[in-house]
Amino acid sequence: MSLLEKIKGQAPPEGYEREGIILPPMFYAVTEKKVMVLGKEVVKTELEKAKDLPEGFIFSENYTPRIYIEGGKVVAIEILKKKV
Amino acid sequence: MEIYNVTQSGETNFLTAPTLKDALIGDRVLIIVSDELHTIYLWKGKESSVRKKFIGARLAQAVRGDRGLTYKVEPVDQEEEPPALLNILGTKPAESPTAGQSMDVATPGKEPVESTEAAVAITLSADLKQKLMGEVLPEGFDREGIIIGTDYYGIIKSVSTILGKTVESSDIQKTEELPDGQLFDQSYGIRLLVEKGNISVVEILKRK
Repeated sequence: MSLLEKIKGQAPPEGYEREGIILPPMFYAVTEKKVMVLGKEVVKTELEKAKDLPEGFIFSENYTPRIYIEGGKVVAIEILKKKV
Repeated sequence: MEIYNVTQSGETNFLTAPTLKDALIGDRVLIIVSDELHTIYLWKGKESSVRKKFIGARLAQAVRGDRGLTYKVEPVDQEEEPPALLNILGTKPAESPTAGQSMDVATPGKEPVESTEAAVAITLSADLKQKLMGEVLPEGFDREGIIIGTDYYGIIKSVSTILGKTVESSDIQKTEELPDGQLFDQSYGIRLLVEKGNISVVEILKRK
């Protein structure tokens, strides 16, 4: 199982939702895909490598990281958004 | 030998005990400085929190920064103590931080010269440092660490007294003794630096 799949299988901390995962140096965004099946909307959540990230510093105070460490190295950083 | 107890709030308390063995209690993370062995042990009790281990790893590097590059930092888990540490378990630790040998190990002329390669490995390039430090921190936040690639760099704060005047300085150094697992604390924020479509730097910010 890939690291991305492993992290995807972890529940976010209470009161937070996952918005993305950084596997340095790449950013994987949580994307929702909606498909209509016989008039019923089916929503599928996937992690996709983000393209066209805006250059420079990005900050919003509503986000908190969850850091994954293996063998003294930071292997992944989850970007968690506080639910309103 | 000096023992420092790492607290949950990110500080260290100087610890006294009849012997080193008496100080080794399961919920503690200790920084044990042995001038004789030129080693800074980061001793992690079995029941100590991830937060304490994480803080201890950063502080152990800071202590090394104070003592000099001839010292090495050695992380040790409870009940997995190496023979060199087992040999000094019965030793009585120093009774005050200034007891024992001098705090200043970096004797002029005797300190080994670190190669440029090693210097780059433990700190950031001047350009990157300038770029990060030049960007104003969001209001209400302090920078606690920086992740570049898979490496974590901690902010090492040093406080020294010169003729009664307190001088504070800070530097960024790679921290290698990170505890395995997940770290999450809601009092932290994050700022990303994107360059050429990739995340080049992740700043870990602490809410004041």
